[in-house]
Amino acid sequence: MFPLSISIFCASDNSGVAIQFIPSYQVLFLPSKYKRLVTVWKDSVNFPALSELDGDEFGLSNNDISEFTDLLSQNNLID
Amino acid sequence: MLLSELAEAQYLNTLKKSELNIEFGLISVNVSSSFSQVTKTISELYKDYKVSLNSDWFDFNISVERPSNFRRFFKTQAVFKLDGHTPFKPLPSAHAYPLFEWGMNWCVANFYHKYLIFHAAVLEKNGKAVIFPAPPGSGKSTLCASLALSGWRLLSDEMAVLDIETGKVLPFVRPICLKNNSISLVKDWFPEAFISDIATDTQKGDVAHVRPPTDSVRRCAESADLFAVVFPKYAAGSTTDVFSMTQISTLNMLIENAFNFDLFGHEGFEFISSKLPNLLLLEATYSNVDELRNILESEVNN
Repeated sequence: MFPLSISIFCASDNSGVAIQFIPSYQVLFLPSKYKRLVTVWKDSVNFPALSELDGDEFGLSNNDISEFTDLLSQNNLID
Repeated sequence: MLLSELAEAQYLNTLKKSELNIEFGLISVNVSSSFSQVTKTISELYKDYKVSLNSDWFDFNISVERPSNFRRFFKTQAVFKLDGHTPFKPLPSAHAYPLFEWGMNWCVANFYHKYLIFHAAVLEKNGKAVIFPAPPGSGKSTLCASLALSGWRLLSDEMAVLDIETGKVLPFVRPICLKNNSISLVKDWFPEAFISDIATDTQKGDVAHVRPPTDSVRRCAESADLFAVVFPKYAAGSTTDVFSMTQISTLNMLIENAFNFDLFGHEGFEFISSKLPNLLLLEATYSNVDELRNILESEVNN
């Protein structure tokens, strides 16, 4: 199992969030609404696993949370 | 010593014996060729470059030679060699000089990973470097020639070399590769510029190279501060329109145009990301090079 690490870029012009993850080196681009969620996720003690998230906490709908987790999953960032 | 200071006989002799290194500042390249087309064009385009003789210190040993088989004589071909190995299929001998330039690009893009390198032209004015990443057909080299021959300092026509430790752009000054219609355009605009003989019907169409300005060559060890990223898009008959680019779109397009982004891991990603908020990020659609040049000059003169 390769170590997983991520770097995050939250664009200051609010154009989006970019996550680079290693070992694949892929860069995933996300809408800026996920900015806070991505940061919280990266700083969480159980990164890369994603614990139950409450959309209200981040100002997001359940659909947004579901889209976010799907994107991470599709890109092999979480199981 | 400059290449132009070598006597012709000495120049040809050192080139024949692989004893000539061209110094680019960024790298040193040991060159040789048995093609008179190549030796002649190197002497014309690289006359202002520093050279060293009989030195073992070089980054790449490259040559353009005749093949060892019957194609030396029949429908003659040219072979590019790196350290004696042949990485590509031969090309017609009439394309020997473009093969030399393309081969050198290939060497640096594939093997020189000390710096983060993007497929882009880079020019500087007033100490402000502008990167022009662009796919083929965007008019990048035509714009590059226009700026370089109008007082901008040429850092590169082909590769933006970024030092992530210092944050600076490093020059890799080489002849500017013009294709097809842009050759006659640049000849018309700048009749005093030296342009090599045209190699016709290459993989990229007709190709010729512009000699880089002497001042740019002399300053080949002088890095520059990154000021802007501009994505040029040539569209025949269009007006000149310049738009702001978002940071995320710019990051995405820069990564697409990087040769060795993956090799730098998080360091490369964080370096580019940290630069973006402080840069002017533009997309420019144009058909009139003068208009675009005026707009860019007003930005770097501010």
